Amino acid sequence: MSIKNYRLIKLIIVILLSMVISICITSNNYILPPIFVILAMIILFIARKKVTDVLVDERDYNMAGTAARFTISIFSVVMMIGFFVLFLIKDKSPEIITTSAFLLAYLTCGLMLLNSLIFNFLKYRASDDKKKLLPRLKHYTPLILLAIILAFFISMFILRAITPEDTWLCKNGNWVSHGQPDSEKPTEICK
Amino acid sequence: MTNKIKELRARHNLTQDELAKRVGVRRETILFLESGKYNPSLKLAHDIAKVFKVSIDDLFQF
Repeated sequence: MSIKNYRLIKLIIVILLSMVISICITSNNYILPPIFVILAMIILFIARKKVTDVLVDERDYNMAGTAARFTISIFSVVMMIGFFVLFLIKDKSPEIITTSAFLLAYLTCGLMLLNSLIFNFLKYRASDDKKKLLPRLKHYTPLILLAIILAFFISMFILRAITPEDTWLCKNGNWVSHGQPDSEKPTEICK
Repeated sequence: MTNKIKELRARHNLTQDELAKRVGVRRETILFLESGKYNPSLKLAHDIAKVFKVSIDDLFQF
């Protein structure tokens, strides 16, 4: 198969997939879209295997690496700005906005962490010190475990400190105080 | 960095597409190489030099 035909198949699949997904979502069907996405991925994978020409080469990988670096940097900055903006306007709808702000922050941290993990994995895989590194890691395992446990408890403590424990909870259509909340009973209807 | 890819390709009667297929890259990469807008990896430089039966030093000038 030529690259031209592969690109045509790819375009048709993308158009069909977006049509199917939009139809499924408008009809409240959330099971079919992932199935169609997986099906499309399988078809594209098979089509890609049949391409005899070179689809991607080292120049593309170089550019992809640069693009990924820029994407991560831009995404992180935009998400952090979004986080602070949301915190500035959180008084309008505290719960939703605070949750969204934290979601942005955690997504950014998650992306950076994943990037760092993959980068270090690739670095380790390419390294000549693999044999030296593994026993060294084993030697430090108790320390690493201790650090993880400590980090877990510290994050739990911070979460406990910043999240409002004393609040109003909606139970059976009534606002019930949990602890001793500082704010007045919410005026909105409890559903 | 300059190179003699275009010159050698003409001498060997090879099109960009043919050379690209021989060294396992896309035609655009050869185009960028010839115009000096892309620095190849050592492997690609070696592969191209092998096609033209010259050394990497003869192919690329720093």
